Amino acid sequence: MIVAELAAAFGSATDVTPAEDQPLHVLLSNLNLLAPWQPNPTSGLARFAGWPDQRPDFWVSIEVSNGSGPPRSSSEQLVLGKPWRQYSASITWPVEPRTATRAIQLWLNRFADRT
Amino acid sequence: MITRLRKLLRISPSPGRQPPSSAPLGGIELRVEASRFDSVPSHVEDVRDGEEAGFLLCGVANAGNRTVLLAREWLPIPARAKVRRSGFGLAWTSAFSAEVLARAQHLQAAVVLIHSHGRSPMPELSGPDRASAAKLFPAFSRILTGLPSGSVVVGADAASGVFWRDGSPLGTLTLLRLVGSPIRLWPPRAELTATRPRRRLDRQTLAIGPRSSARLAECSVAVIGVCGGGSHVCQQLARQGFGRIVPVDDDVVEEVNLGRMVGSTPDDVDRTLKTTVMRRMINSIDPDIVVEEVPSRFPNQATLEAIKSVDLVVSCVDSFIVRDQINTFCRRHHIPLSDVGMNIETEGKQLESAYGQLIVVTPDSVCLRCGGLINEAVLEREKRQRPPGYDRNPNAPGDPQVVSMNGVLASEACNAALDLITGYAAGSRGAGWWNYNGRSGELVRCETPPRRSGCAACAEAGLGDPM
Repeated sequence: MIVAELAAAFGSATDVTPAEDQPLHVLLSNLNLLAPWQPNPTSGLARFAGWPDQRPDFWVSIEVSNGSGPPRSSSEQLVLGKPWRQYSASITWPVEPRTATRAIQLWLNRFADRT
Repeated sequence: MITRLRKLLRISPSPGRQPPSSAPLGGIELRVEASRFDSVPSHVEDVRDGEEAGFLLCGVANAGNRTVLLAREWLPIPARAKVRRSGFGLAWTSAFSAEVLARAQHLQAAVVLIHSHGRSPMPELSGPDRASAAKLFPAFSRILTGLPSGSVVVGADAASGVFWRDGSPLGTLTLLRLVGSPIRLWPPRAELTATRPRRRLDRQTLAIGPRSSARLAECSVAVIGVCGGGSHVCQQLARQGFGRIVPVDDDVVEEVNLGRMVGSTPDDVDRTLKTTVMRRMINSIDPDIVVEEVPSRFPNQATLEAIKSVDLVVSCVDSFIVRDQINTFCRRHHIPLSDVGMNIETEGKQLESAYGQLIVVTPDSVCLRCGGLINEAVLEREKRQRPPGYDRNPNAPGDPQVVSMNGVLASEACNAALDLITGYAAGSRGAGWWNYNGRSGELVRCETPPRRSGCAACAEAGLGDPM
């Protein structure tokens, strides 16, 4: 259900959960970021642990850059065998409506900041 | 339709087979957790009811010029699927082949048929084995796009095999690695490799056995984080005779490192990479050791590529978040991990507590996560205290450290490395958890915690490279 919702909202969403006893992991491969952030489209990965009481964890491609570097306050993190970029974002949780789409959008709002 | 695999139970030396060299292997490696493999010979060597065989479903990793197949599931051919035939040979139903293929497709896994040639010291696929494999596995590999499929025969401490991918020949089995304590290589390369005697290792050889120096010379270790703990580790690995050492760290030496980083000098401050200091130190001890500097940070892609090809990893990092990722990476690639950590707490200007741990993890033992060292609460606390980018902040406060305490744990990590490669402790060491109290001096082996279900790291065991 979450995967279908995210696919409808972001164009592409694939369930990449590594095992049946693990939280849902969703690969979003068609995300569009605000300028100057690039590349567009780019990919993101969401993990819905403790959902919906907890916000999902979210990473973007390590290639994401504003032309001079990655987002400030960010670091590379290994998730599902490859490096992703984890970053800080001020997100108040929970929000209503408590939907997966809204949660990812809150994470992506960080890219309204140009650095 | 009945899928048939016939073979001759014939022990025959393999003419023309070349002993492996001590250079990094190409070809195809099959890597299996020792405990999982224990159930393989017990099945395939039990011929009371005719020949037996089974399928290993494997993740795949590309480590340099080597394709590594990482065991994930063992599917013995059950009695219900066997087709009775006269004479030698084994046949099974097409329905079972379809089950295996469906499971492999679901897991996105490579398929390896395993059977036995008894106690043959150099087993080779027989003519009928090869003919059957050439019919079956090109077809399997066309269905499992991009994934190898093949047939392996095991004997006494040796194995051989042949593989296809996308319908075309891929190559032969170079190595079967049984990852436990100790790590066993089939064929045992060190015994076949002519290496010159190393007088520098005479005393160690007297202690742990005549084959140890050749075995160590062909082994590689990655040391992630090479300051307080990792520099001690690099120094001792070099003196123990490991053939290749991969120091991983992206930092330049700072003045505050001089008090605990073995090999660093005042001239290195603010100008020399820590990995370069390690190379200099290791090669000053033994110029024959191959040092592959990786001046980047885990999990940078260059780091991952370098670590994939090592025999074991020693983690000496000061972050639970990074430790968690290293643990998961080693799980994915069936690489043994020794984790060293030290935490000193102060009260006012006094040392309040100094606790450390050494945890040795093999692919079939309790990992850092399922054993409880790392959990979501620990990671959340670190995220709050050290948000992303914290460690790039030059004004971030440093942690209290004492070189001699780091050295105790590093020495034990090197004993663990020695045992994982040579088995010197004859089974009395292996994977385990040790606690160290730097105040009282106690180093205590703890009862290994029970494995927790739902472990996020173990869920990725044997997955290898991301698909």
